[in-house]
Amino acid sequence: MAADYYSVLEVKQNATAEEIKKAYFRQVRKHPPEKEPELFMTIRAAYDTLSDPKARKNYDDMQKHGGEVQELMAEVDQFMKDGKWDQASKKLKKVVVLAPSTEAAWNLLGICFLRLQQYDRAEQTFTDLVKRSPDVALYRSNLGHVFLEQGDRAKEDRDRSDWGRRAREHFRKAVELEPFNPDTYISIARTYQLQRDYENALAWCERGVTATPNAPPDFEVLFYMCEIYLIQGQTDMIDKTAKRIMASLPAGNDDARKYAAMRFAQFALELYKAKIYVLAEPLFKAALKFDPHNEDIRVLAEYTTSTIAADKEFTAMKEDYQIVEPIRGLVIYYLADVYGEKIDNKQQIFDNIITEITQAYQPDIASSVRRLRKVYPNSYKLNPEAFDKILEMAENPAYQGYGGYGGEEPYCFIVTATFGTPQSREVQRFRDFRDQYLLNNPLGRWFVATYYRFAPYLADFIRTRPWLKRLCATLLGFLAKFLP
Amino acid sequence: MNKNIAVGIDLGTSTSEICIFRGKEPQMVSDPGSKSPIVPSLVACNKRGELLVGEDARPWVDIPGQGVREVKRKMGTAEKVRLLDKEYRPEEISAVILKKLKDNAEQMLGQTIKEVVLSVPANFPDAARQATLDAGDLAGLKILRLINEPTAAALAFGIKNIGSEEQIVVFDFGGGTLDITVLEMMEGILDVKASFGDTQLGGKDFDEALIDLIISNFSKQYPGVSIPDRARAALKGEAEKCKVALTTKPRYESTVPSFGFMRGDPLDLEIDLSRGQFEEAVGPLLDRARECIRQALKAKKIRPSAIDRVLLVGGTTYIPCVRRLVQEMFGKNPSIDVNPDLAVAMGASVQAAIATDIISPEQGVILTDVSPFGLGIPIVTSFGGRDILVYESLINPNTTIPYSVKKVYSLLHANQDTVDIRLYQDHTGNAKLMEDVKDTGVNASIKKIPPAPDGKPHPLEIEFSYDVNGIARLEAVIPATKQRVNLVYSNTGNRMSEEDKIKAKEKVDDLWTKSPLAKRYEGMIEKAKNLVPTLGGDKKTALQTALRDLLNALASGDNAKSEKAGDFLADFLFDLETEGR
Ligand SMILES: Nc1ncnc2c1ncn2[C@@H]1O[C@H](COP(=O)(O)OP(=O)(O)OP(=O)(O)O)[C@@H](O)[C@H]1O
Ligand SMILES: [Mg+2]
Repeated sequence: MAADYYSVLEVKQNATAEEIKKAYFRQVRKHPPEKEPELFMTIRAAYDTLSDPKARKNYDDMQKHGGEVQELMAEVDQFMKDGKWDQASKKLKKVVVLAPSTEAAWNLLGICFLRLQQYDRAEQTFTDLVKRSPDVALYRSNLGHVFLEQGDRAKEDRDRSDWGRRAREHFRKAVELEPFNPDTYISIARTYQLQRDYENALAWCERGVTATPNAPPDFEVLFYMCEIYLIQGQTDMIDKTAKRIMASLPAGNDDARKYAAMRFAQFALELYKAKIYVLAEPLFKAALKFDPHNEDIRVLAEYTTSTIAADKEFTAMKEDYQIVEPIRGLVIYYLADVYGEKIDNKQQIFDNIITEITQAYQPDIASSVRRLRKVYPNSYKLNPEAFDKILEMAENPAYQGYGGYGGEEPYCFIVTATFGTPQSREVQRFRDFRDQYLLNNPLGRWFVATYYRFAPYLADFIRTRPWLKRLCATLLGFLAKFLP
Repeated sequence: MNKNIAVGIDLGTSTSEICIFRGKEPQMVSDPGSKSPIVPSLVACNKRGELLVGEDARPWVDIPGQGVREVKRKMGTAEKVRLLDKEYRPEEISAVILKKLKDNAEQMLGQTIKEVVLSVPANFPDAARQATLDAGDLAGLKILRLINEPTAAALAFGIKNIGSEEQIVVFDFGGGTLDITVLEMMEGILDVKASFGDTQLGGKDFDEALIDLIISNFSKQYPGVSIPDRARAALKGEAEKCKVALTTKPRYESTVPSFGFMRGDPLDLEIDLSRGQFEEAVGPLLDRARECIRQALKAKKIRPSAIDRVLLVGGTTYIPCVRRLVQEMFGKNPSIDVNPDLAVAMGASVQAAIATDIISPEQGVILTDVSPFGLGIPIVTSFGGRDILVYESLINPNTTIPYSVKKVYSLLHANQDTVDIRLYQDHTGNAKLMEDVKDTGVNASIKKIPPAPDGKPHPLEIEFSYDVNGIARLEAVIPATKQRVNLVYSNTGNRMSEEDKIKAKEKVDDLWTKSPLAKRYEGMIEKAKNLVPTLGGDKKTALQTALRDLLNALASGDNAKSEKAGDFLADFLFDLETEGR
């Protein structure tokens, strides 16, 4: 703090507004701007501060407790970086007691309350801030987040809609104040998503894409649109959106491309781990478009593609009587497994399939597997080791007449081959890459963090994908045939 | 130029005035032709190609291609205006008006004037201010300073009411602009708080609303009538006449012969309008004015009841419905303490007197003014995790000047080796994005910055100041490396290039020589006529001959001959003068 404003104007600490004004004019007469500009500026700064009640209060607070407040705020900063919301909020409470006029501290306190899920207190804090400074978009949108988060946590559809509506009211005010911040548009879209009103959600996204003037279409918003398209099952739109993103990336900026690729791959991987291959595929493909030379993404993309192809082949195979029933059964079994379907009597079904294979006429088995390898390569690739073994056994005269191909050894082999999915190595590699690459890259670090913003929605949309359930049901129906 | 004289000029959209501050008082200069201090801002050429400025231009000004009105509206734009066979920049036409005012003052004073204070609308954008300064240069004037018109009007009030303590609103509604300025007066100090306005709203727009009304009535009366462009242009003068008449009378009637044509037959335009019809037609314009007042009061959180006095300035404030609006918005009768037509020029001369110490700061009125626009730099900021370039204000519009501020920023990353600093202007007062602001073209960079050893980006300090003359200075320093750059943004920042100026000056001078010769020799002829009776003998005859030769030459319209005769007479008078001493 430079000169003390009260002594600059030569007034007492408890001077009235009228006294301060008189003092200012007296000082200007003594030190006019044309003659003593430096001194005049100090006089004016003092007058500007002391004549505005809010600024004067703040000035008084800071004069008294400025040092202490600064120290506390430094500690708060560290606590918040470490996610220690509870400790941070304790310090912040001290700050606002000492200097109740510091809005920044109130805002941080509100965020701590929100993180601690003390929604009532968070709401109160942001409501006060909005009242104090109705023109600050940040306070408005933080208030909106208090409701949005409660909507996320609500179980009932009706509650989710209510929270969404309440949150939206504030986000819309924030958009009016700061129409160029794309985040607020995503927030509004999310309030519609809570209501399952995807049409409006997408419409607000579209507005957000071009919200920042002179900036390329906003990646975050476009990416979020992909998520909505996924929920709606409009996978073709993901491809289109990826193209829009592609067009928006600055030419020759490899980092931007890699970053976009990683965002898509990350999302795809999550779906992949949930074994929703049909949805993972378009995302992997989009990721590859951005970064065609990324081996990890390529391997995963190819594997998902062949899994999906196997699924398609299966429809044709159902009618193909050149493939004997138990072999078809085994394909379905692997397929169901790949889709992550919970099979109740898995063990028994599997045993029965194997028993049927061993008891069947072995040349038929052999020709079925050969045909499978040739005509339905993707189904074969579901577990090539297992089918090879069956073929070897069917062709091998040593096994001929053995009669009891239910023996321990081959059975174990097949089980291992099935359950220890051949892809697991790749998954691990991918994960390592992600951890190393992303956590060392500042851009990436942020991306990992924001990604989890969307995480809760994944579970939601698996739950709400009726067609996915239908697919699994068909597979299960088939498998049921193998039950005694 | 006499040290005890200060000059102020109000270069208005519709009318212009020049005022001399001498001794303790401002004194208006009247036009020798019209005998009025109010000089219409009209420039035209008559049939003979002679240049006419002011009242004399009125008969010609609305003939397409022969005259220019309201050129102030175009100041600061690239738009050109045509006068006979040539295109002119707005500043060139303005320079001609300034030359006329200068001439008038020099005739009255009998000495040349050089330094003046020029007034501009408070919300004049910077480009228009720069153009005004250029116009001053082209007219051969040195501009001490530009002063905001409403501030000038307040000064004209303040100089006469040094002891008063009050909150004042200046409501300046002229021919082309509306300005509302809030200020406080105490201890002889005029403390300007803020100015708001609409640079595109004035009496001219009232005229246009009337023209639209008249033409639409006429077309309704004679469906299918055709109106030549020339007739439409000529209606401008008639519309203004009608408007001015309706200020004092309830009705206006007049006839314009052969205004339109129907199947080749001429039709007369009969204007018959009531004040009510006029007020209805200008309703939307009044709404805009109302909105402006509302904004001004809101931005500074001023209650109308806290205002002690409303000063009316500008010709448009004569209109009864405008007065009613002011009364309704502020809840009090507007004051008639200053002359609405002359206050601005008077105030400008007061400011010139302050700037040249003719008015001493110890006793005289003191003025604190505000910055007409904001200045700032682009910085990168994080918005929800995204980095975007935004405008960072260093000084907001309506900040009391002089002003200075110091801020600390950071480079973006530790290995950043160059940083660019560029100044932008904000005319909105709440610019946030780069698209809200205008590039001033003033920039500099710090290059070859060594990488930060600790991996933390270098801090960068900015010191910014803005002085009473409108000159902004910025210094950027990286303390760790002691590298620094300086920027100066001044009124010379965005001006016409020297080369352009030389050409423009030639054009203006060329145009100026087309002023009617008789006008140029008016003063001398008068002097000679007065001298004749005082002389005797040869000298008397010789002077009479010289005078007759000049008058004959002027009457013949022969330029070369007139000039010769004029020079001869001038020499003769000069010799007489020196002999007499
Ligand atoms: N008695 C009157 N009634 C109505 N309008 C009038 C009257 N006298 C002048 N005006 C109008 O006022 C305007 C001119 O006012 P003024 O001379 O104050 O403006 P200016 O200084 O030239 O313009 P500005 O300040 O906007 O650049 C013209 O539009 C003129 O028609
Ligand atoms: Mg004016």
